[in-house]
Amino acid sequence: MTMNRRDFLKVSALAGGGLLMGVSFAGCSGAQRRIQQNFEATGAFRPNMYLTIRRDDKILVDVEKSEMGQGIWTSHAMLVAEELGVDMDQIETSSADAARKYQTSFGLQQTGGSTSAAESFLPVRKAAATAREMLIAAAAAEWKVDARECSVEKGVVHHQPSDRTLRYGELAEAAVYVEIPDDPPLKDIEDFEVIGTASRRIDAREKVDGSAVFGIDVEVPDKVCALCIHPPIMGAEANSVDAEKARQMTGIIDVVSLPCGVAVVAEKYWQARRAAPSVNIEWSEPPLAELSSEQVRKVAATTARKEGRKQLDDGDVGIIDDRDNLTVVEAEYASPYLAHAPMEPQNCTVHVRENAVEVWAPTQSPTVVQEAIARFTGMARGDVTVHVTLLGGGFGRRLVPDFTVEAAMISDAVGRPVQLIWSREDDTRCGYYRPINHNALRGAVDDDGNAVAWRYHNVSQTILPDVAPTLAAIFPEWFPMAARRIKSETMHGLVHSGSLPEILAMEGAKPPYKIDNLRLEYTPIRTPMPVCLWRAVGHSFNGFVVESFVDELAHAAGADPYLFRRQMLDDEPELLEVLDRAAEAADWGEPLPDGVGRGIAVHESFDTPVAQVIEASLENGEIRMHRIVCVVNCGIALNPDIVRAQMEGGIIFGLSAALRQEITFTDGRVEQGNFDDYPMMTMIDTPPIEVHIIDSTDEPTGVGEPGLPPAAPALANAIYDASGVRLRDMPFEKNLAKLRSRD
Amino acid sequence: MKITVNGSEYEVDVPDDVPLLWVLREELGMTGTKFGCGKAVCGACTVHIDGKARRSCSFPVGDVGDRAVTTIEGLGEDGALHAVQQAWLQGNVPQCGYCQSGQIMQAVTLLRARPDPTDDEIDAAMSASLCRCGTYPRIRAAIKEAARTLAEETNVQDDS
Repeated sequence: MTMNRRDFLKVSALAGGGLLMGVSFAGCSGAQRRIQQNFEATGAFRPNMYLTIRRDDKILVDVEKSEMGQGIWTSHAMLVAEELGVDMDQIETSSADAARKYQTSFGLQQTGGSTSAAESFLPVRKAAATAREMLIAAAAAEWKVDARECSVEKGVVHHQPSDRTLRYGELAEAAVYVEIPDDPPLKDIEDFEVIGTASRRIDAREKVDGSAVFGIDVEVPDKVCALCIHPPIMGAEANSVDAEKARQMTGIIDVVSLPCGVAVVAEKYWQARRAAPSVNIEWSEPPLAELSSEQVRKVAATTARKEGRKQLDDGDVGIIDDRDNLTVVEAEYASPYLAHAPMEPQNCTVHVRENAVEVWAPTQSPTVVQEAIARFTGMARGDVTVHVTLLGGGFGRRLVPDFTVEAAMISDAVGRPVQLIWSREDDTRCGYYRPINHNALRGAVDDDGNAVAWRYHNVSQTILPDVAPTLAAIFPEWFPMAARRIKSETMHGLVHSGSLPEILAMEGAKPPYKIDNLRLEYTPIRTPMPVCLWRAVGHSFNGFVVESFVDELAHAAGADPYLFRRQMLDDEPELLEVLDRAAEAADWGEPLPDGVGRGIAVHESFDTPVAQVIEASLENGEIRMHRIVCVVNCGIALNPDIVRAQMEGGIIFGLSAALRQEITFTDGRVEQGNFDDYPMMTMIDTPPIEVHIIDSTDEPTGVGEPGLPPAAPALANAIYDASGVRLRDMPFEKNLAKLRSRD
Repeated sequence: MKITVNGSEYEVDVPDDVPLLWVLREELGMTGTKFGCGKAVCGACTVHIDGKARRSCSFPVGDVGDRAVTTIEGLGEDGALHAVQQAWLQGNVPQCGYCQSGQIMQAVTLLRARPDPTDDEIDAAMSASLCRCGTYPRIRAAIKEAARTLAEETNVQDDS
């Protein structure tokens, strides 16, 4: 428990000899030569991997992070605009292809863990400041003046004494020959003019006029389209395939058996969809056929009541049973498997050629895609070119490269570029879910109303074994592929044997409150049902558990749930601040209409504390929310409006899971398939959401995920306040129905 | 068969039962209309057929007949954005953006029927258009903003 996710990834990267990001662009004559060669080839000044200055004054920003809605294109552009001294409308952004130089996220080019803003804050500004200093030096040389007399503004270098200006475009060629500065000065945070403003999203225009190119919109010459008929039970293989009729249908090119299903390849996707029902397949019985989620749930529940592996043991939780005059509280919580359900189904376009592969993918991890496809084709990682498209949502699902390898297999079979598009049902049923959980808690409050003991046993399906194969990508390419594989399997083994802490399942499990006697236990469940990361993964269930149970302790102590939390947060001033601000903004303590309750929750994830207050009621047995207040401290808010949007999105994502989402399977068959049986929040469910951002000049921290964890417990606590009904099982709508049928 | 999309007539050679969505995307190259669910439950594929919001993923192209189809690409006039698209920009509505073509098409029909919609009317019209990023509060605000803009435009026209 001393290791968090970030530390773990760092150690993993270092263990493999991966390099952490250096932010100096200065240096070697090689870099200088590359800038000149690039100018000769393109006529543009490209001082480093982040930006290019064209002679027509356009600034092109290459974004090495995947834009999946979190606004990273906009914040990269803002960082560049700030240090380079240009207007936002002078900048064009695009996704950078996979490249070693972009493997800055623990050895990977990857977007996840709410790291984009934090990881980019320094390097991107430094890249732009480097360009700025080179442009100034070029202008000063042209004018034969001291560079210190020059400044930049709105895309020009200005020499004040003589009031002369030169546009960046005019300086692009001369700047190419300027020595790269070693340590260009960065603006002080207090002097920011662009960062911290609610600048319009740079990708908004193309997303409202329909021209944005997502993975599904990729057009490649000679492209064919494919779908894959996946087995009804994951892991099954096709024993026999009868595709004779399908092959006769319009546009059908081939029907190909793959380890993961049967692909129907056609000139057009609609042709493949029409032909698919005519393919008859007999499937094998895979191990998963023996398993149902109900069994997993029951085993998890039974296990949770026993003792687990100790992760932390402070003081003596034995006092819960041994000491007199304590009020003991016991509760069990549960949360199900969950799919990510991004609006854009998984898809990928791949062209496997003899010695190289070209990929167009909506992926969160281009490096992992390179590694996975290199492994399939037996090529080197560098032979796999990955173009990253816009992502129609990610939420962790697009960290897994399964769909890209599937597309590569089909392209390999038909010898043409193939665009594979999964159906919505494929997207829902083909696995990699947020793990199922069962959580048992015991706690005690003393006569003075203080929480004195807390014991938490989390039983959940462990994530690391299923993501371990992708860990091979962490190891640098000069490691032979076999060695990379062995190393990743070693880590896999360490995870299995319990030698590595299960940081993902236990993230956010430690209550932030000062409780002297605290024990955390964990027991992994292992099933063949594949699981992976999900928006805020461990925090998504641990936040619910911790913030629900502290509420139960507060009520047991007869205390106000806000004040009860507050008195235990002396050592956590940042959490206390967001909690206080949320209570104040939400008019905590003010009377509410009959039947309406308030719930509060505070949780820190990805270095960002967030507190929320939800007002809710039960109307004819249905949960109805009336107001949500959210307070976040994410360091400096690069773009406050995008921070607000991420909080709104995280809250709604969390509430979809809290209210109504669940993946279940019987005899290995996943029972949900589309948005009608895996429903999400809709507009009518969404109350007004107010987001307040704590003023800060600290470096930015994550915002993509931290809005999520407090939402479910704040809602459960509000329903308890409103009705006395304690919701401990997600999804709540099902929990309520069960409670009602028991009455 | 012939089909009229965004004011132009096209000849397409496809069976009648092919969903309009795929004809737009694959035969006409108009990829702004998105595939989300394939069974008319998410709204990402929403287009207008004779001015009415329709789910193109479940609308056989053969049923379109001589009715006019409008997609996100044809919503604005003379290259300018429609007031609803403009309001979307102002309100920083899109996140991933995938569902937004469908949301915008749905909102345009709402505002034609109800130029000054109440919250309940917005909820009723928009709650079958799903957004996994959770842009609902911004969509609601943008619809109200667009309603104001459209009302002003109407007033200007009335005055002139």
